[in-house]
Amino acid sequence: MAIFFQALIDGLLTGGIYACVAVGLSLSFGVMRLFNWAQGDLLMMALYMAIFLIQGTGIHPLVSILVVGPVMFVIGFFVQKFLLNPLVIRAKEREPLSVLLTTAGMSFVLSNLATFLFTSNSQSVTTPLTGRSINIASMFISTPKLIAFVVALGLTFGIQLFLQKAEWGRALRATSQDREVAQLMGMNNKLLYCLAQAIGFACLGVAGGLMSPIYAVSPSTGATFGFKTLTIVVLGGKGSVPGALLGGIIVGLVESFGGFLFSSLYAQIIVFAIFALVLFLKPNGLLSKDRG
Amino acid sequence: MSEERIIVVDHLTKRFGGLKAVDDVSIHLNRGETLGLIGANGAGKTTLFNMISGVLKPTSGTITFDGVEIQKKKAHEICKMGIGRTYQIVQPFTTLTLLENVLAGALMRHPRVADAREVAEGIIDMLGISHLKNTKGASLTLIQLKRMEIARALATEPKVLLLDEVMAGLNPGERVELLETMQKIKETGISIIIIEHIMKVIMTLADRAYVLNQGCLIAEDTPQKVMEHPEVIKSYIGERHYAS
Amino acid sequence: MSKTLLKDKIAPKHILVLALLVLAFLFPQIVTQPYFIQIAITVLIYCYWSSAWNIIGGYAGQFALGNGVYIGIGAYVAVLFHQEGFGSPWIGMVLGGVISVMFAFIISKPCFKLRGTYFSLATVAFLHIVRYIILGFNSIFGMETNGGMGIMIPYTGRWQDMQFGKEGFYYVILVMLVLILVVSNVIRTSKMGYYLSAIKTNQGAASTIGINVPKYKMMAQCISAFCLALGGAVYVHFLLNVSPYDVFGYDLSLEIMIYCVIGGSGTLWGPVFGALVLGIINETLRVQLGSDIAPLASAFYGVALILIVRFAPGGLYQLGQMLINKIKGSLGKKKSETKEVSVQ
Repeated sequence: MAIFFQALIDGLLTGGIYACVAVGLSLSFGVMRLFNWAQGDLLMMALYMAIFLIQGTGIHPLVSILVVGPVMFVIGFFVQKFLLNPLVIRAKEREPLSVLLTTAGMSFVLSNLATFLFTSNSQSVTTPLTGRSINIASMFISTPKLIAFVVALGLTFGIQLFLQKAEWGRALRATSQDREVAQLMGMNNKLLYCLAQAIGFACLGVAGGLMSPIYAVSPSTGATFGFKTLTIVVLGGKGSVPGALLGGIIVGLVESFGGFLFSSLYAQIIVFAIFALVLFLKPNGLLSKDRG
Repeated sequence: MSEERIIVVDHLTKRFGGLKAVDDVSIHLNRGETLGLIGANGAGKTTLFNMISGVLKPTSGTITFDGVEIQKKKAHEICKMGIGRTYQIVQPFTTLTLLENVLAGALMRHPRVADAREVAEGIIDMLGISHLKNTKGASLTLIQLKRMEIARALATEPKVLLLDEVMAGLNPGERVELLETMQKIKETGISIIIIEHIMKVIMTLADRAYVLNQGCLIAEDTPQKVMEHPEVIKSYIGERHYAS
Repeated sequence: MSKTLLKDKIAPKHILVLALLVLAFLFPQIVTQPYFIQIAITVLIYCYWSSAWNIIGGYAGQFALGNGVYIGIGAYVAVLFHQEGFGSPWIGMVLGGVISVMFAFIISKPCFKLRGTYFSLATVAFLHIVRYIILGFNSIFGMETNGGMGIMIPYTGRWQDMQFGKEGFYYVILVMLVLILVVSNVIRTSKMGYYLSAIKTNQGAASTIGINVPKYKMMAQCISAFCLALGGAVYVHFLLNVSPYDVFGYDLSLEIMIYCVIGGSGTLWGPVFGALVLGIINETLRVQLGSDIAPLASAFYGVALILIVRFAPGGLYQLGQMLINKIKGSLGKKKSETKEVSVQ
């Protein structure tokens, strides 16, 4: 019985981290209709940054967030400005193929560059947080995971607040309804898009910092997380920040229980199967009213 | 009597959620006639076209074409049966040339590319756009695109042609040109339904006209009589267009 | 009507193609080092696969990024068929093609209902699912597959077992490439080609001129799947080894797409061009700088893809055409200049 709760807690906490990673993609895909194939590889990049930073300077993982987060923010801003905005402006379709190709290209570049620079061996770092856990009623709650969960919750809450209340956030939501109409109404689309993408990248940066005490990173991390992130976004409904949280927790739980009931390989297959099912039956997310 | 009516729309309704875009509309098209469909924006005219051409399925009601019910059929099947259409906002195949666009239409009845090309060239000639046949769809002007779309629809050798606001976006000179083209097409004996805002076009071409308002049929008569209908005048105040 | 002279029918480009063909067939006789022939084989198979992908991705415009899965299915079916004693891998290859088509049919039906990104993602999802299944189990339906370790194909050297030696494989794959180019050209210049172009640019309008959109998408996908599978079957017999990392790799799927797009997707020669140029660059870099350079080269292709999508969406093919037009233009100018001089 205790094992059940252990798996439950593990899954929940991991889900929080996944949500943090997925929020950016949800914003990009849902609000801007830009699907970022490189999401997973960007996470890998953030994780490498965080790990090397900690290895090099010995700072606390939570402090690394304060560095990696803003760095990723800036990167995201300029990626949107120079790579993606020009394509969006040109295209007439809602989901331009050129964006898919460009981000697939980015993914290819990042994973191969990582393989070239760091070889396929994984890197990890031992931090004051690594391996620490809180012991409650014969269950181990991993401390870094708990912290990550709390931060992730805070982050998603904050972003949701931004989208609902802040002027720029609401402008962002308006552009998701209809790009052209929003332009006519005089909002500076290009800047908004850069901002949204920057926020998404920053979330990845935060996630990288949060994950540094827990996970090892290798060039294939991108692929591993890429599809997971996608499943989460589809489950929760693209564009929905609370949806990303819900999706993250579901995937986290499925992996946790799947891994403990069967094996981690089966758990992966189940995740993919869930993805396929949701895609065909409820493409707008579990919470939507589709009949599929 | 039913052989006279090539299209019969019976109690057709289309709901989008709570909104009735088309509300219990019954109209018919006689063989060989040109029918006008007028009404303010949002009256349901294009939705009606979409249902007749098979792009949309009605919520209830039937559409009969040449004696066969078609409301459940797919768009390409309906085209095969003999209904061709154009679009309010032109839908060219942008990477193909004008000739290839029309050729694509002709392939349905002439599967060999060489035959289809001949047929396409004939139609392009008739519509006076031969000189543009090798221009890519993306480079054509609006009036050229509109003619191309008509040519492409004609290439499927339809019995019924649905024309959706062909005149929109054209200047008066271009409208006169297109009007002449449409007269030529009428002379081939094809049955036509035209959606139009510009009354002069309806007056010139249509034998009969229906008026739709907010999804409902409010009048049916000859174009002249329809213009004097009180309901029509009400919904058209301030919106009358006369081509100069 | 006067008969068109034979010389009027043959354009300079036909002569070029013929010359290339002759050169290709003579290549192993001129360049005899096995090392170069091996490189050529790899380049050729990528030309083949990219051309096969082009049919669904380029002509029909449906970005089925997960189509690499059919390479794997073709490979495994051919090898298992022979391993379990059902018969020659040639028959296994055909069976692999058929099973791929069945698979494509079942999966693509729901996939095509999705638009844009979702469609691509769904195809990739299936690739991953199949890959994980192969990775995770040591035997499937009672046949040993060794999971991630893959299956070693015992060397016999007999053509009946689909083993030819380097020169043999070169010619087999070259013939396959020629065949798929012929098939592509037939599709391109026939009704199907026009219909696929229409579907690619505007599905809605296509259906109202009588095009059965789902049927033609499916046809393109099935042809692509079949051809990819055949290539997979032959290539693993060249490697004498079939493993999920080689044939079910997401990277492989992505690569054939990249070569196709960089070369010029939707054209006949684009994919060949792309695979050829990039393949040669790959090998040259490898020779000069060692095989560790491979990921860096791949990273550059990613950059190239991004640049091409932005500045020359028609790929190298489009760039080549622009170049030829420029040359023609300046030659024409020179001609008219000399004409003027002589008239004076």
